[in-house]
Amino acid sequence: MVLLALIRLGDRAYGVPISREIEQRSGREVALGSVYATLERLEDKGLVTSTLGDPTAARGGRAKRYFHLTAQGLTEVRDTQRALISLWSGLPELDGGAA
Amino acid sequence: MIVRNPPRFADWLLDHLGYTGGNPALAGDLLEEFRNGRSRAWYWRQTLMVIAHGIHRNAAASRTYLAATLAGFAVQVLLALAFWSRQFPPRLHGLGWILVVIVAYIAAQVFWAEAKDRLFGEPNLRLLLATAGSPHRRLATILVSCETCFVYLFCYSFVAMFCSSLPLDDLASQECVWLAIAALTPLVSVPRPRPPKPAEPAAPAAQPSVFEPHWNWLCDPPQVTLLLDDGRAIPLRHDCAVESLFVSGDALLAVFLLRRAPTRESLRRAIWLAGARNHAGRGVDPTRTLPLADFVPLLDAASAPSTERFFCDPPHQSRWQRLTRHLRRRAD
Repeated sequence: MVLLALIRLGDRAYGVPISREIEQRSGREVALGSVYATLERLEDKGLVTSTLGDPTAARGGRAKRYFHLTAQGLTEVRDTQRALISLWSGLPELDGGAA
Repeated sequence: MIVRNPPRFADWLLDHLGYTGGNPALAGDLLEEFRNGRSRAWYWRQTLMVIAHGIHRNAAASRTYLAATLAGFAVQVLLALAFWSRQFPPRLHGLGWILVVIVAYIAAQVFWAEAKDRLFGEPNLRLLLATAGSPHRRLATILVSCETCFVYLFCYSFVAMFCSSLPLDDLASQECVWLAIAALTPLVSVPRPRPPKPAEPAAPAAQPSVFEPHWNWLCDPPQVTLLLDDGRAIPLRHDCAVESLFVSGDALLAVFLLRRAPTRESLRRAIWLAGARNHAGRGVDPTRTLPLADFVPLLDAASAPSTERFFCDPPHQSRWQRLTRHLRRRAD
């Protein structure tokens, strides 16, 4: 979800919009701490990079940390998408709408 | 406009447990969301979640430290039991003895911190053990055990020396409390790296071409954004330099600058020069960040004779306006 949010947000992806994007799509409150924990893990794996942006007064003079998807990250998202499509297909219980 | 401030205790927790210092971007995000209308309950929930995630991460990063701490504590329990059964140390009476023991303990701690600094170049053994590939890991692990054993054995001795009686069940209770403190402290808090020593001031570089006519930079008042070593960036404006510097959150910057003992005026001038250099010499981006080390030569340049004329009388006239007029005349 975090990687998909990064793709959607493009260059303006930092903690606040990422968590909002996930909240809007999933309908659940997201903890910023867990978003950062996930992003730092993804950064360790080389799927994401981060850069410091400009500080603003609204943030108490603290800089924003912008996250960017790497080529490896994009490949990983595509692989996951393929795997999920393959898992979803051929399940008769999920065909035809209401249970 | 009223600026909303987040719950103080939640902020205090984040700051004093090390989470704000370790991740200033996260602290900024929390504050930005709060000021965008999130509730205090939301801020508290987020704070607790940050601490919970921190505990999880600390547990993974501090395994060696925790194991060493628990080993040291186990040895301390055995020693304390042995001492207790022999009623050692003997009881002491009077405030004087309490003060002597406390002073001796503080002296031992100071000596120990200095010894660690000389041995490893880093007094925080927990940080040292969390650093992958550190050559001192084994020695540091042993020292953590010894340190834990010493600290809690001192606590036992202090109680034994100055309490009228210490039954076994009281001893067990107090050991349980100390064990909880010993184990939980590294889980809850994030070790703060020691602030780096300030670099020696470099020889002043060639004078920046501050006063080249450049119409874009005349639009804004001078400002500079200093980039601290912990990743935080602090915007400063020359007209409110001192006021914006010395808040508690900017202690690192304050310590750095105060070591150089600049006067209030030279600080204002340095900010002024940095802002002007951003606009004129380097181009265009007034919000470009400036590392602290690059700010030092500007403090020197601020008192150089070549720039003095732009800071002289009349005091009521804005320097910025004066320079603007000067440059406009040249452009005409």
